[in-house]
Amino acid sequence: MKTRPACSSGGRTALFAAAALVLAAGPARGAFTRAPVGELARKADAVFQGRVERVECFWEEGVARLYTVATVRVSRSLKGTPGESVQVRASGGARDGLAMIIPGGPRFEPGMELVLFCRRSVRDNELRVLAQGAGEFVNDRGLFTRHAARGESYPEAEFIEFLERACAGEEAEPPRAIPPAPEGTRKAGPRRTSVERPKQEDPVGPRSEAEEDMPEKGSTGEAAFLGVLALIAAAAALAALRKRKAAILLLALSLGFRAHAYTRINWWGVYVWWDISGGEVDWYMRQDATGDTLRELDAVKEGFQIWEDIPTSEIGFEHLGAPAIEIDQKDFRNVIFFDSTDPWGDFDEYILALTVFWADDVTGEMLDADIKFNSVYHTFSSFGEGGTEPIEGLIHHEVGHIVGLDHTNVRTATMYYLYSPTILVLDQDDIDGATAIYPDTTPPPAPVITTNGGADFEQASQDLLLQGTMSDDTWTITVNGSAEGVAAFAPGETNWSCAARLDSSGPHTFQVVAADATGNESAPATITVTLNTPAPVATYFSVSDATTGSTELTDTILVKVDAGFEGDVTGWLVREDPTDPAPGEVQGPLPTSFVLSAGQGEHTVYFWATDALDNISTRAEASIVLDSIPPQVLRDAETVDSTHVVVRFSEAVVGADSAGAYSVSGVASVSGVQSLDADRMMLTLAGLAVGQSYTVTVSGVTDLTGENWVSPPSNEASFVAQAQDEAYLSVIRLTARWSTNVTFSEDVLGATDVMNYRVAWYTFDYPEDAPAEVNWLGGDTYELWHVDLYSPPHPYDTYLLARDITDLAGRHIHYNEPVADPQWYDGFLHVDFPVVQDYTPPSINSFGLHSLVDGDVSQTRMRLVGVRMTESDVGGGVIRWLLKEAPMLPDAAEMLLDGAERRPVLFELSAGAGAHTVYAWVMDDSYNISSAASATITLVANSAPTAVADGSPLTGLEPLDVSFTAAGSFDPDNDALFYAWDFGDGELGSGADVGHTYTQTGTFEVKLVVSDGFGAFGEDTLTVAVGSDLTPPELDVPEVTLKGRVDSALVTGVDVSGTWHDLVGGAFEATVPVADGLNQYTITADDGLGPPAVLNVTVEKQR
Amino acid sequence: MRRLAVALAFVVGCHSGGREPPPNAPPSVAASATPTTTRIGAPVAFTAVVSDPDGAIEKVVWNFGDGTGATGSQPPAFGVQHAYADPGTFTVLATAVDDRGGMATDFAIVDVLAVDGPIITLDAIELLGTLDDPAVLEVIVTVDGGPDENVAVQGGSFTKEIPVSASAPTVVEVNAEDPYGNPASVSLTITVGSP
Repeated sequence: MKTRPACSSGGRTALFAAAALVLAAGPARGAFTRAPVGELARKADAVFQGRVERVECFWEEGVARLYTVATVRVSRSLKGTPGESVQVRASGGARDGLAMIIPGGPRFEPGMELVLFCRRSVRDNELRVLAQGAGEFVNDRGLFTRHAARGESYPEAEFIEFLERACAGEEAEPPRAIPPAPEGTRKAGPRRTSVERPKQEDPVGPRSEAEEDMPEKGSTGEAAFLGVLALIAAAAALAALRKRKAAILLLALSLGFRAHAYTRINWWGVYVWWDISGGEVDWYMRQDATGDTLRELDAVKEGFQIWEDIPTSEIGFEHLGAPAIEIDQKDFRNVIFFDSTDPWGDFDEYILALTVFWADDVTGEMLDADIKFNSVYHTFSSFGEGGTEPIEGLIHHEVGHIVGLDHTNVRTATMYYLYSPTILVLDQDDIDGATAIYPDTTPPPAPVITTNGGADFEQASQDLLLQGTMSDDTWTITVNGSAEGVAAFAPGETNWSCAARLDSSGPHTFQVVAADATGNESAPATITVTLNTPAPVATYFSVSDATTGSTELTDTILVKVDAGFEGDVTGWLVREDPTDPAPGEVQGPLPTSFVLSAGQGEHTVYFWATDALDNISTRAEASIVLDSIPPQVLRDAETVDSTHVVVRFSEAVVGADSAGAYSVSGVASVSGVQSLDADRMMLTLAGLAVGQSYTVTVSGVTDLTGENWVSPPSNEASFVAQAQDEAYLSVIRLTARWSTNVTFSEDVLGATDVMNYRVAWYTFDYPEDAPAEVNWLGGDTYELWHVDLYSPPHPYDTYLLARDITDLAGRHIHYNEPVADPQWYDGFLHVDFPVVQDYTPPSINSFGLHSLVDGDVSQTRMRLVGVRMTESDVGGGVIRWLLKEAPMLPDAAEMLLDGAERRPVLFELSAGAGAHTVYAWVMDDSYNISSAASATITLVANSAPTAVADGSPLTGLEPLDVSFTAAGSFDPDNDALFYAWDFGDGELGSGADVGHTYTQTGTFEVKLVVSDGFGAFGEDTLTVAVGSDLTPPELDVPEVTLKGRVDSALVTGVDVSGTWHDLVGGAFEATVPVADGLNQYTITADDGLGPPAVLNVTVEKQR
Repeated sequence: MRRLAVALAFVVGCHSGGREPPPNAPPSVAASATPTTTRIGAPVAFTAVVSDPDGAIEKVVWNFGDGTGATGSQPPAFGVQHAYADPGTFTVLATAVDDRGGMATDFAIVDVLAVDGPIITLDAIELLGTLDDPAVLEVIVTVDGGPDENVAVQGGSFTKEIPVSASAPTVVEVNAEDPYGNPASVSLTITVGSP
């Protein structure tokens, strides 16, 4: 794993990101937005087209630097007077096995046709290419392509024509630049052809030329650029929160759709690379004690850090301090410095910073790399304060060169050849480039399992949560090769967890593997978990009669079973065999019913449950007794007609539906048996004589247990044969608004089925009907309920439709009398019946009130008075009454609310002496309410009597005879008094003087109630105590309460013999036990300021 | 001759000065009071933790800060007791004196509050009595031979509050009789007094 220094300054990064957003685009850093061809033409001393004839490389005198002199044969002079042959000087070149490279700088190759914008250096009067490689346009098959721009091209004719005009000082519209060709069509860059070189493998990365030939999959257009800007802003914000990995990951996710476009620095076909097998790449920068310089150093450190933080790349950098000398020569010291002297003439106003490095000309191994900021033309500072150039974006880019990356044409990349101060985070393209050169091949350390301290363990729950820690370069955690259940974690987090569900007891071994962003996998961490889930536990279980629900006895071997178990039950087993089942036997749902084995007596049913782990519960059991009561034949059979008779058994039976089970006296055979119910059989007989009495004898019939037989003498039923008849609907009578009664001539079948009735009527020639509920009123009478026969009234054509109602022999009913031609209506028997047309209210014929005690009809001293009322009704009769003292006419609902359907005989007057008028109404069953009748009675004020009870003796041994007297009672009205006694032992008595014998010991509350006969009462009570023995009573004072005070504001409580008692208002109460003999209590009050106060109390008890 | 004597005396003086014993190392003392907050008249205990590097402590002289003082001579704590007569905050100085006259002083602070000590007064004792015979509806209580008082028995128990005084024992007689005339009695002699 590559080592990673801690983030240098998160806060600084945030400020940096914010500052970058407001920065205007500055000049180029060896990049070229600010070097348009027209401007170059104006600012160049010489512009010419020509062909490179010779390229020579020389050592600079006195320093370890190379420079190249290209001799160009001029074919077209556009500005200045260069002459026929021109020598152009540039820093860098290759010689003696070494290459000195300036990314973005001009390159020359013999035979190369180009247009150069040159300026004569004031230093040595030599021509140099203006703006480094931005001033070099190479003719590539008719297109002049800016060398440093990777694709900004102009057609030759238009380009030259424009330059001629621009160099002549004319206003000219620059030709439209041809956008960069797709990546796949571009070649890897200029290849040196003049020097024979054996083909080489890429010395570091696995990729060679093929990488350049990969087609570009995505778009680098404007929309994509804007889209990623937001993501970059988010990434910058994340970077500010020290979430470097998150920032990079976000970019990786958002931009991952795009194929790579990065370019490695390529020295005539040889990729450059650092040998990092020895560790990090060291660099030097001056670190003055001044704050400004420290901030500049911090900014540069940040530039290295973002490349170092690429999780998939292993390259690292380390700042080793100040350089011995700040010069971009081959001194094997990577120096970053601000160059304000420019001794080699590398700078002009288009250059912000340059990276100058040395590589082995053959292997591409980098030996030295220096970054120099152009302090000749610009001023730099961290964040670009005060209109100066910000270091941050520049250093990101230049360090990218040190990493070995050349310019890319991905617009959002740090290595994009146009400088944008808003690009502050590495693009996936940059990351891909760094990763390709220095792939991270070091796997992360194995994750640590912290669950149960990493030791193997057992648990009861099927749900398992594994947790642990991991290194901060862990990007994925897999458990047993899968990421399922692994909780999401943010990059940089060091805790992981994984939820799993165990499907068996195991043991289960989990291998946890960490992988880094590159996919390098750690060694596994292993833990073994074993399930020890407890078996389900039965919480309830029962067996009950399937028919009656009784848990005690059943007539049927079919019983209902029910059970509940705690735990995750997945299967059940219910059986009578108590043997513990094998795991596979316990399965399936809990049955709702169970067939007992035959045999009377107690049957025990056993229950087991299992969970998904095949843990079988302990056995639960429930018992029920199978019936042993034999069935009987009811003595009187029901006669249906001359050929049918119904035999009824006392319970459901088996075998009764066989004709062979019956023999009828005097009849040859039973020709058929029809089971009406489980306990009711209709026999079809032949040859019965009407009026003759017969006896049916039953044999071979058992109850449902199969063991209880119908046996003599209970196996006989007798009947009298009846004439053939047919059932008929004999009565239909309206009894009330909501119901009507239907009576059949005999027992019928189907009469309780609500579907078999409709009550119908015609409204405007359209039949309407209403469903009804059916109440069996007993015998052969049924009530149809909820039939609204009242509103609206149905004066004609009201009828009942009935169907599928048969007599017990299955013959359909007829109406009223057997008729030859019943009326049928859509399958129903159509029965007209009259509705009583009752619109006549009932009338109250007489109404009066009378005192309950003296018979006076005009006045009373009791509020409860008697009612005399007679009423009459022409219809169905009066069903409700209402009495009240207000004359307002009640409505029907109020009549109903009046409650009791009994005729009112009592009425309680409101309180208050004087005349009370009571009004009465009655309502008939058609809800007609009578007019009010009224009666008046005067309530005379009554005074309550006073009860005085006495008795003697009131204490004594049982049995105790006590004589009670109420003689002291009196009434202010001198009314005669009535006396009622409650002796308190459950016995009652009456009369002024009464005796009572107590036969139990105890204390009895005797209550005397005297009434004056006018509704007023008086009460008195006595207590009678009846002793139980001859021994003296046990008298004791087992405890006393000490009550006292403490007069000190500082004391909150007292200690009484070791027990604390709070003071309440300065007082204390302490209940203490008192033993026989001498008891001593010590009361202590301590104010904490000196010796506590002590009070001794002694209580000497003698008994 | 006189000159000689003077000169000799000088020489002797010089000689003896050169032979003086080593200087006495001073003792150390730490004083404490218990309690540090108290009330008028309550005794406060003063103790010292003392040491002397080159000898022993002879005594600790205590200045109670109210114009009085005492000497503690009983090792190891050289403690004394003192009760203050006036309220206030007093700085108590403890001066330890070693066997060669070396001294060290420490102090303790005592707050004396102008409060009286608590006084406990027992006003009454309430009898919580029991009687197991439901036929007995009341008991008769007599205090110090005074008049009988009928006290109702309810649910097998009765209560009666007896005033008590610290001057003399209080004698309480409780008597009961069931309907059959079986008597029962209990007597309590209550004495209240400070130890």
